[in-house]
Amino acid sequence: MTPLRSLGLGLLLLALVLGSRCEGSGKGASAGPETGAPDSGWVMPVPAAGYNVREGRFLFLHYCATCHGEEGHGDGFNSYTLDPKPRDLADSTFQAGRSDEELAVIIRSGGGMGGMSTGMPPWGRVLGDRKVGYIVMFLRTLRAPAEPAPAP
Amino acid sequence: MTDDQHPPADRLWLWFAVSSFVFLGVLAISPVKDHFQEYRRYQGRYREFLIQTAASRHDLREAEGQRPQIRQIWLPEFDNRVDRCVTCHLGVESSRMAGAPAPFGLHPRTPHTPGDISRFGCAICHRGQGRATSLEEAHGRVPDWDSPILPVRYTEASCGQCHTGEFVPEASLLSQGRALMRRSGCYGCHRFEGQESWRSDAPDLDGLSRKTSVVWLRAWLKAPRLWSPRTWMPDFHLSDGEADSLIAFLWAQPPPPEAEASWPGEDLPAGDAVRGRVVFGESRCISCHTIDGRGNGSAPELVVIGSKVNRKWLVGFLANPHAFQPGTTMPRYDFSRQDLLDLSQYMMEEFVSGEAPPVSGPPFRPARRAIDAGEKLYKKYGCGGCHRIAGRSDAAPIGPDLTGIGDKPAALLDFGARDDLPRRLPDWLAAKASAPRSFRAGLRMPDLKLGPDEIAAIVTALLSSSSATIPEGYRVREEAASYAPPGRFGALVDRYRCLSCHEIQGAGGDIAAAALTAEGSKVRRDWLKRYLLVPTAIRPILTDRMIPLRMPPDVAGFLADFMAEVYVDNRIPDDIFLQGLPPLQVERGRTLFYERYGCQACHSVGGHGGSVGPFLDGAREKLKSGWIFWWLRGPQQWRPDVRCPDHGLDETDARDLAAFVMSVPAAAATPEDAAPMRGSP
Repeated sequence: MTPLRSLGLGLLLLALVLGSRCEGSGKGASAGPETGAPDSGWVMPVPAAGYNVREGRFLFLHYCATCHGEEGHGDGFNSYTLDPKPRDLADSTFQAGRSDEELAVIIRSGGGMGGMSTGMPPWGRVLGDRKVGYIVMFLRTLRAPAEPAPAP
Repeated sequence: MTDDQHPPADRLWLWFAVSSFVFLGVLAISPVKDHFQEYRRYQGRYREFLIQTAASRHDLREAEGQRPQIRQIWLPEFDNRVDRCVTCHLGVESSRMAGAPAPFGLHPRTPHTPGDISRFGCAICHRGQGRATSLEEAHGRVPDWDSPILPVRYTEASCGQCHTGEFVPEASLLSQGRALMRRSGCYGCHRFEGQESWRSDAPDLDGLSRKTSVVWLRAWLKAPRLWSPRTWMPDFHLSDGEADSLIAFLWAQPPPPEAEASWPGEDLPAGDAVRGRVVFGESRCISCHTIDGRGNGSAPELVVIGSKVNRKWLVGFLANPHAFQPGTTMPRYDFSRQDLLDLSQYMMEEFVSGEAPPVSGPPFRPARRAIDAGEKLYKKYGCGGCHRIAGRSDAAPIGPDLTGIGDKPAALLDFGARDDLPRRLPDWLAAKASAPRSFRAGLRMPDLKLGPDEIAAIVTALLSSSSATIPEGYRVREEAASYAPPGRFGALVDRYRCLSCHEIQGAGGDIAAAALTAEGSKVRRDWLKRYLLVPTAIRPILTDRMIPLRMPPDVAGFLADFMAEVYVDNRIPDDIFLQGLPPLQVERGRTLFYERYGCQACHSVGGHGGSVGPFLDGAREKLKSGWIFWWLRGPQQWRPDVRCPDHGLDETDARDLAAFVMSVPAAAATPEDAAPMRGSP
């Protein structure tokens, strides 16, 4: 084995290792333009809300909107026969006064448990904790008239 | 090395030294490279974060004891996959890490997370490269990796790899997308695994010359949404010449023989439009159709029907819709001849559009050449994928097979003229769904006119079709039931198209409370017969209420008998108050109803209460006490999406409440009950 050859082998190994590393960083660099569209005007259609809020909205419309209204203002079609009327859930004072857990407790256990109207039934057995959590997250999106509306 | 024949020993020694250093250097590369790996930085930050937020000495000791290492989830059942995402996403399963900064936070709650993360791993849902340990490689944003990480807004697509049914619980975007794909006719042109038996609701196209006018047909083909905003018919952007050829072809298709037999040959006398208006209202057409957008909307818009069809066709169709459209969901009402004349008179006068072209036109005799050109277009645009013409079989899908589209590598996609699009599958799919003809000239895919949310839903549904290996035990199948009611009952169910709305043993329509599977256990036979003859409102707020089919009393009796005998659920007790209603239980039930459970919020009794649930006046004439008891013990046993809350009632409470409901007397006859239906037998 000649020294030249051993040197050559060493350099070759070095070159291979370094080369693969360079290639690696090259890949990283090429990823840049993929992450965003070029200046083309193409706007990716995005669902109006993230997963939990979307699920919460879906459940809210199915179970709650008949009384609380689709926007949560307490103006669902069944609200007119109720006494007391359903609360305006979008009211920021109301929202600020309740923690997520407090809202979840009312949804799970109903109004009767908290000394409020029995017109609000308990949904804990039907929905379970996770779905009640989605609804709370959706409710929190109702309070924000100041925030920009979701992209059309 | 001590060989004398070689050049001077010191030079040899030098070479040896140099190559040894080089070799050492080479050996050192690997540990050095590992030392500078990204994940060590992340794990270092994670350790710091843990130390800062430690709540106890134990936590602190544990945090300080953390040594950098590759972490992984090994999934032998899923093709021996290894996901090393948890090397950096260190807190996904730890409830302590809720709200921690990225990438250490707890995974958001979904049906499978964080609980099932070690069961499924990460890449099965998020894609990317599970084995990689650098950010760019793991997220798959590198060339030669075909499965880049899925944008979070589409992650629901991954639910669809195991959950193959149309409705996937807690995946509303995926469910919406799958329903949209079925409704908007994607499967008419594209093959898609699992949808082989899909059948369009679009009307058959034979005999159009008997139904409408050339002018209307042209207006419709050029812009379907203009005349019916909610139609599923897409816009093919036909040129004037193409529209003319298609019309020539369609005009030449004779009506099916059954329609010919039901054709009112003689000239029709004028009807009484005022009476027709009453018949129209009574028949509750808006339970399915819309009038100017108001109504259920599963059937076509009627507000310009008078400008679309001619009166003879309308009379023939209303007399026997199935002769004209064998596959229609429209029931066959038992209208009398006078009903038909009056109803058609009213509809032709009332539902005309000032903008719509007039129906009457000069007789049109299409030329042979135009018919042939039209036939080519009919095939070219795949009209036969959704529409049928008796005696023709054009249904072969003309578009590409979309099975497995969800993991097609971006490099294999044809972006055509769309230089503006990022080279990614989700963007490509979204652009295809929103502007299909923008990729190249001469494409055939029509414009579905979808909104941004609908496109996001469809992209999600498409991305869910992947060829990832899912072990058999993990698949959640939803077999479509194929129940067909037997014998004479079955023939009547077909005549009245009961399954367009009602579900029986998993087959048929989708109105939650209206499943007939246990009708015999639920309602009394005599009530059912009365209801079939005169369907009084059970929930007046509903748009899609039961329609009066004007069936003869003996038919109603037969249907009621059959359901009372056959559609019985053995889990449901028959009558739980054989000795009569115990007054104490009734009183206790009344208290529970009003004070404990607040049932009046949804149910009306004696004119007071909500209108979400059925009115309970006279419920005892309709419902069996065993049913009420069984329902109250858990309404969701009936169907998981029932809106009646489950209070977890014990037997005593359920029994007492049932006793109270059974005690509620019928209300004084409402005007609706009192007015006899005109023209009914």
